[in-house]
Amino acid sequence: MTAILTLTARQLAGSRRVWLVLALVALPVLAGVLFHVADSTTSSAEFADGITGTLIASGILPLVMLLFGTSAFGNELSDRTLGYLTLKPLSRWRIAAPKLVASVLVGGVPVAVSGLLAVAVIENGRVGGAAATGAGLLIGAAAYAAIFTWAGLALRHALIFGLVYVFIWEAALAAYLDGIRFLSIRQFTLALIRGLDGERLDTLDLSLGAGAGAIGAAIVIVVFTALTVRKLVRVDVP
Amino acid sequence: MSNDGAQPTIVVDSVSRWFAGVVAVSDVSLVVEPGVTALLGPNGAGKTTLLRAIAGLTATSQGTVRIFGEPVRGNPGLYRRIGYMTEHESVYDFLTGRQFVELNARLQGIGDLDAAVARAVETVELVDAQDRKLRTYSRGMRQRMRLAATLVHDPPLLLLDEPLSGTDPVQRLHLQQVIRRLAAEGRTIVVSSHILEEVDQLADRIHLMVSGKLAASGDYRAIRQQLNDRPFLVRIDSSNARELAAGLLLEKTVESVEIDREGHLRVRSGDVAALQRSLPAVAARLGIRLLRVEPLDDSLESVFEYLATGSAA
Repeated sequence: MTAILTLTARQLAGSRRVWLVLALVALPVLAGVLFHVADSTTSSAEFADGITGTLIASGILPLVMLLFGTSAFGNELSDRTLGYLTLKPLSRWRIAAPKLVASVLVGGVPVAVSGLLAVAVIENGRVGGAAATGAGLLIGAAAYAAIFTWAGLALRHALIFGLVYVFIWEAALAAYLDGIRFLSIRQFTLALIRGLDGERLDTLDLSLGAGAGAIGAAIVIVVFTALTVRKLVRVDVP
Repeated sequence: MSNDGAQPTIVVDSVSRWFAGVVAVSDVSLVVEPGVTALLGPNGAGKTTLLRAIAGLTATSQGTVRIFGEPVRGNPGLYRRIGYMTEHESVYDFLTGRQFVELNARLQGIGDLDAAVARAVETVELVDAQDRKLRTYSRGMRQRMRLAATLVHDPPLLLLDEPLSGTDPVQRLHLQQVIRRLAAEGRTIVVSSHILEEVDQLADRIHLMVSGKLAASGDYRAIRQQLNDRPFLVRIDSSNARELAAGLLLEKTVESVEIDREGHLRVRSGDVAALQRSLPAVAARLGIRLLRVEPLDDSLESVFEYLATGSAA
């Protein structure tokens, strides 16, 4: 499994989009620095919550994971190298799992570190809140990776699917309609962060508890990884 | 290396494959034994689709494929015994040649990785280039390194889709030698090609595909003989078409002659080689100057069509 993990991580990290991602993940940290040098009446907790909930969880995290998740198989489908993996005596989950992990390593870890540093800078080094933010974002990244890795393998227009999910379903619908929040990875992520550190995100309107967030994220990871494995068994490899 | 002899290596039974109403492979049944078998046919004949179905890369719409007695689709364990080289030349071009072969070896779960990789790279004679990135390779070198990756786990069955494409004459000769040597060790090797001459010295048996169907099967000599026996249409421009036509009609090798509206002579012959010998002699005897001699139905599609249907185009 390490061979596919290393291969995929090299594929993803070697692409030009990694520079875009580095620029994106630098934004929250820069915002944290700006908070201290610019005059503001906003409290540090309120600003950290806004950066976490709006900039990172609603924008940077899903976008970065969309880029890397859909590319985990998408690159090999488009350049027709997937056969090098599928024509091997490997259970299909041993192909799908390292792809998922590679997406999290290359996309999720930088976002989680960015969130951790941004909160640490804004809240003057409060370790608990920063660590909770990093851990919550990492779990959210895994959930996004699972759904977008599946989409990259199973859907012809995976990027469009991802953009619709992120900007219409999560940002426009699930953000305001309580009844469908249990179907939003953004909500799971924020619920987890607050569950890990009770002082974080209390200025945001979150209706899901930490337990629901953890269960929701786990279900997304398990279900979409299983769908990816199933698709790998049935797919006509180009 | 060979299978246990109790069963053929590959059994394709009534396989069809269609895509959105377009039939790519139609009711093909064949059996493949150890040695080199060529899947021959013009582009679009369904060779690649059939090979992909044999390898389990694509599902069949109808019929079954069994390799070493087992179904291949959804049976990844079987890939320990199969090496498949796709027609696509794409590789992970950020890897070196050696890393690429090593990756394939690792994914096959090979124990002695270094020895297996070294042996495969030596087989395709790319030891000197193995530490260069694949993106710097020529097309032929890439084909050879892909072959190394395909055989690194020493499989008893090799499926090679257009393995000689993109190679120069020297590389082609070398690859043919490698394939023959691998077959001599008892392997079953299936090679697809759209060039009859390419499989001339290579294949023991040929399955000819035309328009998704299996048109003919047999050894190379039988199919070559059929090819030589087919009527051949030649257009001849000369200084005196009528006199040349009369002279050629006396030759046994000429079946018919006609002069078209533009005054070109069209000659149909069952023995091309004999016509090639007699034409200059007849022209010289009659004092006729030959201006142009052109085969009219020598396209690959025409050859395959003839072999498939038994009638000249």
